Amino acid sequence: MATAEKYILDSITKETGLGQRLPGVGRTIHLRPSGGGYIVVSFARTSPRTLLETITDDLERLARRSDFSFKPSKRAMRWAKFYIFETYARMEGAFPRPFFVLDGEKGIIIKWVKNGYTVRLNCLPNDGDQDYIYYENGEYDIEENVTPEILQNRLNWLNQHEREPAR
Amino acid sequence: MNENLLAEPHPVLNPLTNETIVYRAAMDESWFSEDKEEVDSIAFQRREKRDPTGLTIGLHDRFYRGSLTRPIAGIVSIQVGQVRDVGRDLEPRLDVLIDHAPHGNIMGLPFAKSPTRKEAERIASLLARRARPHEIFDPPAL
Repeated sequence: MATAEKYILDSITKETGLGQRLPGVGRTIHLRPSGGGYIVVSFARTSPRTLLETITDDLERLARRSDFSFKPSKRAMRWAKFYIFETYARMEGAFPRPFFVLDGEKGIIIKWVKNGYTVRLNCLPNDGDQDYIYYENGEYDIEENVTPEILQNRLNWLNQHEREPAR
Repeated sequence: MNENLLAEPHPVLNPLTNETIVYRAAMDESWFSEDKEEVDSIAFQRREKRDPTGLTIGLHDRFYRGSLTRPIAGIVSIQVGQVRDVGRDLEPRLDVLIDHAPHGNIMGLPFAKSPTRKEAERIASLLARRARPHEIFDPPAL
């Protein structure tokens, strides 16, 4: 099973696809066999929404409202969630809230902006595409071969500059 | 002098003055910041399929009518001089050329794909910082 797909199943048990504990998933979902099919049982919320839930809702709302030509591909959605869940699990409270941009070609850009510093993770639409991070603060560059660790390092760079504004 | 005004229905306007404002369609609401004060750089990224000649702009803010079939989220504007400023050190330089008035293109932008991806991202970012939301359509409209 592809890592990005495994995360979706494992997130139900509050772990990411890479086996990290996933904090901030407040809802509990059980899948139970029912006459050859499955039912989904969810329990009422008793706590405020977590940042991770808010981010996930933002992303899914974006995909729902988009028409065909802008609707993110399954591949883009899967990998966007993968990067968010895995990196959130590593960073917990330090994970900054992102914005989402549709690129018009069925890809998703996950964007963080603070104090003039920008990180943009481009989740491309097609299998075989290579996602990349573009970042800038006056200087600018691209990182390819994106992993949760690379994204975490780049977000730490962003957070560090939040505390120490650019001179 | 036998001047036939109909022979040139779209007079050549180039070069545009630096003060000329041109407009571009924002295809999705995510192309604006949450507070609707800023434009995302995706609005200035040139794609191979969509923008073979250049990045489409118009001389007035309803230029896109008749060519687009889906509702758009709004209109962004930028001055021609600001485009030229961003592309001052590039080869080729950035410029705005009108081909079939009111339609024109921002010329000289690299494609947002390898091997010019980094430059394309940077130029789009610089243009987006200078651009402004001109009109927001809520809900999206044609």
